[in-house]
Amino acid sequence: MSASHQSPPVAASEAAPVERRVFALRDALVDRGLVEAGEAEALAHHALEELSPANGARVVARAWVDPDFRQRLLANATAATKELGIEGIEGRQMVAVENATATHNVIVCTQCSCTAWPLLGLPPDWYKAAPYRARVVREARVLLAEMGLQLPAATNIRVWDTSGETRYFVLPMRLRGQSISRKSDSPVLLLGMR
Amino acid sequence: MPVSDPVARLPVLQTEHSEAPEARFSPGDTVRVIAKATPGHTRCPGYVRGKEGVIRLVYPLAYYPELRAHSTVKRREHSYAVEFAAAHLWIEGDPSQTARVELFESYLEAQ
Repeated sequence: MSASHQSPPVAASEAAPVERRVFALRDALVDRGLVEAGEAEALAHHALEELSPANGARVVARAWVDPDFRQRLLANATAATKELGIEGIEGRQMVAVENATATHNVIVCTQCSCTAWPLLGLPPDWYKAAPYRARVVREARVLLAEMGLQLPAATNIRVWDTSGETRYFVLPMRLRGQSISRKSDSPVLLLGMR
Repeated sequence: MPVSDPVARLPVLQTEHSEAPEARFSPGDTVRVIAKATPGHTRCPGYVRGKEGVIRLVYPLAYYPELRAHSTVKRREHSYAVEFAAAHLWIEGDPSQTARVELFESYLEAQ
């Protein structure tokens, strides 16, 4: 790069903070009638407060103690999670897949960052990172080990690429020695969810 | 205020009449992903183009992404979870790994 091109058109220090730019964009959209007043705030509240991995933990806990619910979850995750009041954007077509000794399931969106928001919340940065997306379809076992999960050599790995309309949710194997009250569907089981 | 899905609110300006509601493939069918890359938006990942896989799940009708992205026409078709062996996709691919990729019917041809 030549010396005359070292400065971008607007230096970073001159740009408004992201919050101000977001609010300016929101106001412009409201002024033009493209979104209603309050709509952006409602969406932000939904995204930050209601879409949460705590929902997924509730579903896992329920499936572990309630065999009928587990069956309904694996047959139709969208309908089964709705029983618990869990639904929303990016959750119109959800499929639950179950881990077993023989098969470990992994979710990725190789093209972007799609995932089941109502159950898992907005995707974490590592899920959106290019190295995760590129490597997990190529060498999941090595990548998972780097991330702290050593899978037995006899366990097959099934990677689900969220490349279309379907959003996947993995039902983990119940942890050994874990005791859960039948009434419990509290989010105490977040470990390993994301 | 209730929250609605912004994508679901996009207007349907025109719907192509040549919808094919019947799924062309069934679980167990072997298919090949079309190798030719089309310009513009697609939901067909490059790493499965030209590769052979097996239909595992049949999904409901959904709008074909290429048309939705680049035209005012909306056309629905089935998509599928298609399973590929990692050893078939990659040099030195892990023989114990598979990938199940959601692919639209237009991306697939019968084997």
